[in-house]
Amino acid sequence: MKKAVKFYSLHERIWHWVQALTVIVLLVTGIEVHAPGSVHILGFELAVVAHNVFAGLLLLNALMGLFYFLTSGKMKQYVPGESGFFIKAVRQAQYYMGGIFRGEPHPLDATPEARLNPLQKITYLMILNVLLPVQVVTGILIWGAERWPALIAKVGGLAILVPVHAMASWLFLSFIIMHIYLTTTGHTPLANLKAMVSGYHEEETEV
Amino acid sequence: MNFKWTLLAALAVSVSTPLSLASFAASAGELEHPAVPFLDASGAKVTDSGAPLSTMKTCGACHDTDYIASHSYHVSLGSDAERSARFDAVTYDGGDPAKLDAAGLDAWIREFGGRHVGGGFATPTEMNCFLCHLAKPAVDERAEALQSGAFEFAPMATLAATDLVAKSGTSWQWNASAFDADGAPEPEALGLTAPGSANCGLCHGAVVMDHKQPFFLAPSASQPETATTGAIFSPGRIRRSGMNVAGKDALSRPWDVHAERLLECTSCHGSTNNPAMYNEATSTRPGHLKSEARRLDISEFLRTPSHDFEKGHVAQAQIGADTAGTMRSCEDCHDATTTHDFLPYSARHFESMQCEACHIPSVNAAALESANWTMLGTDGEALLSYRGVAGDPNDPRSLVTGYTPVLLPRTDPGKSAKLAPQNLTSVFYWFDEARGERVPLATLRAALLDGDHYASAILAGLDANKSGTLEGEELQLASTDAVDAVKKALVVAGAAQPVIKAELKSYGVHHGVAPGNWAVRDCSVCHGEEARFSAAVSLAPYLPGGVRPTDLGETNVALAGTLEVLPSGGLVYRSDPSQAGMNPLGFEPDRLVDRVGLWLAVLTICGVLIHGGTRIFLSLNTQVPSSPKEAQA
Repeated sequence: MKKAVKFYSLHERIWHWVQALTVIVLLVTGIEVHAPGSVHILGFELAVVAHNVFAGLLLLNALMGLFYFLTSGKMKQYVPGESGFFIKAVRQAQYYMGGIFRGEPHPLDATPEARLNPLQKITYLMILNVLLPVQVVTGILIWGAERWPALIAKVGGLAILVPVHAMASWLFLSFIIMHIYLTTTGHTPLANLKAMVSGYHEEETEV
Repeated sequence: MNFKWTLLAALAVSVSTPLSLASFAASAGELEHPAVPFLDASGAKVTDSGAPLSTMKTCGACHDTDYIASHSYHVSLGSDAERSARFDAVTYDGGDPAKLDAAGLDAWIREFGGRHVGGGFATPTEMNCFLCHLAKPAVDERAEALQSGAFEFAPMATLAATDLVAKSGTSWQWNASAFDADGAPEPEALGLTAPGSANCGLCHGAVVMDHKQPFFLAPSASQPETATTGAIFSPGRIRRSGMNVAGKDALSRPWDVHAERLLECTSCHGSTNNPAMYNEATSTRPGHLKSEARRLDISEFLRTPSHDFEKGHVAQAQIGADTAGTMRSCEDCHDATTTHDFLPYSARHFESMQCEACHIPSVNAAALESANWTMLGTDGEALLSYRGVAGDPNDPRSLVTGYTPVLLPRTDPGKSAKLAPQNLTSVFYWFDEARGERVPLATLRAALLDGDHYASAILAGLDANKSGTLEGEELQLASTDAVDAVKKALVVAGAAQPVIKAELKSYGVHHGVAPGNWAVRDCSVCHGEEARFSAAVSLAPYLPGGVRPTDLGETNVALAGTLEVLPSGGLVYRSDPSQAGMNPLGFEPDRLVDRVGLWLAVLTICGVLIHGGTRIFLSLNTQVPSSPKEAQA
């Protein structure tokens, strides 16, 4: 018998999809700004404007998400370090490298209170605490090169900021590829995607 | 006001405005100058003595000519240090002529005196006021007099276009009937004027102030500004010129917008103490001072007008370092912030680029690419190659394709570097290592030429096809044997230890400014893989003796890119603004980050495909379910 268990609140889902939309738009417009001779979608000028607008939207959404996760107490889901964390991480890695091919069940059962496995926690820790801040800070400084030239010069100028921003963008792209693929490793290939749309996970229960 | 009067008023304005502007343009050079008794070097009237005129005595009766001559870099050619560093790639003139002995100075005046205003170290001559203060100074006759050694007649020869003088053999005589009893010609007959752009153009570059004149101009050593940058100062429309410019029908812009707007050279390059024009440059003016109110009285200025004219900080400047930067910059006359609303990140653009970078989007004329003085043409001049023209630039039928100036970081004193349009060129010459100087032109000509033919020793070493002359690759000194043959001839002619040297020379492109609606507005011109920076700029079609130049030497312009020798033997320059700390978004010649990032993304996709493919394959070919759900079911 199937049972629908609520995993994601409306707020979390809106936050997630806005974040997804802004990141994808930022990647596309970023590529056009980065290589305007090869990519022609919006045109260089409009791509720059769109990139700046969606960067602001992403930053706003990130801050709202931070506020939500802090005040709702759900932030602790992202914090690694519970007992047996390393062992769980190894088991999860072993599952992705072998168990999944043999149809074995997930080594760790996700619950609404503990949705993330150790590998996800490590990944999100890096994404949210390193990659996103780096991208936001370098992006703001590139945008602000017009306004604060002295500050930009102190951090090495655009010669440093632009490559760092570009490298972080490539890492984001790789993360998104991996992220989308791993959504197919749920109970069914589309189960995780459906859950992020409806908010509910369907679980088999014994009658 | 009814419609009829409105129409009449509009008609009157539309007719009178161009007329008044034309009147201003026509009157700009006119000068109500009193009659001037012509005096000779002893102070006697030339009509009494019959002797040549002395400008120092004649003009010095009212003007402090000693002050003028001693405050003119046109006379002094700069300080000793500047003169020593001089080297004109087009004329081969260089070094410090003030250090020459009498015979050397005599030869220098004969060779290069036509391009020197006279006076100063060139003691056999006087500063020739007529060159700039006559509407039509006879520069060719003057140069001829100097070349013949008749130095004292040079000022008289400059008056050849008037009725005041007549040539007699190699000397000149006064036409006494043109002078009054005081020994002064009628002012109208002399025709003194305020210096006009055409006067400057006689020595500096092509100036055609008649906007209807369909001129054709070939690069010439006598107009180095045009030869080295392609600049043409004219109000005329490019499409109406006689130049065979590619796509000229669409080029309705004037050659130079400042000429079109009735500015003269002196509008920007005026006397540094002219009270009517004086406005200290922002580069030297204290920040709190909008305008300097203390100025010379007009009578004092007329007595002692400084002839150290305001000038910029161009890379090719070889003299006048003391006055470099005194010229008002674009920002001193134009407030760009009120007209660039369309420009994103305008402050960033203003901070990184000189106005000319966008406002001289292209040069529609030929300009020097390289000057090869290691071999000479049979005319005794360098082998020059030009960019911006398909074929011989001296042939009016050759298609003038024009060129896009390369943007190089230029640093003015007290300011950060900005990208400025430049014509980057190369020059090759023989250097006498033993004497520490360039092989003199006379030695070079003696070694290579026998009259208007190549010397037999040179032909023996270089004439590969035995045609009796040298042409094409035979002039390129491509082999060690060819280099040795010329080296040997140079030693015979007097050089001690000749070696080939090469230099890069950058010429700032600051004239030929386009109107605002012709300036660069397309972002992709600078932002993108195909940006103007990405194009390789040819610096030389070949490298004589295989010697390649490496840097620009001491100048305020720096290279920001790499030099490459092509398989064909030519030298090209590839820009990389990041070397100057400038990163135009979209243009990154070295995309290491992108290569690494792309590989990372590709590897991720490969990993996903292999992992996902294995899951699908196993689910289809074994009993292993593709998802844990099926396994549990």
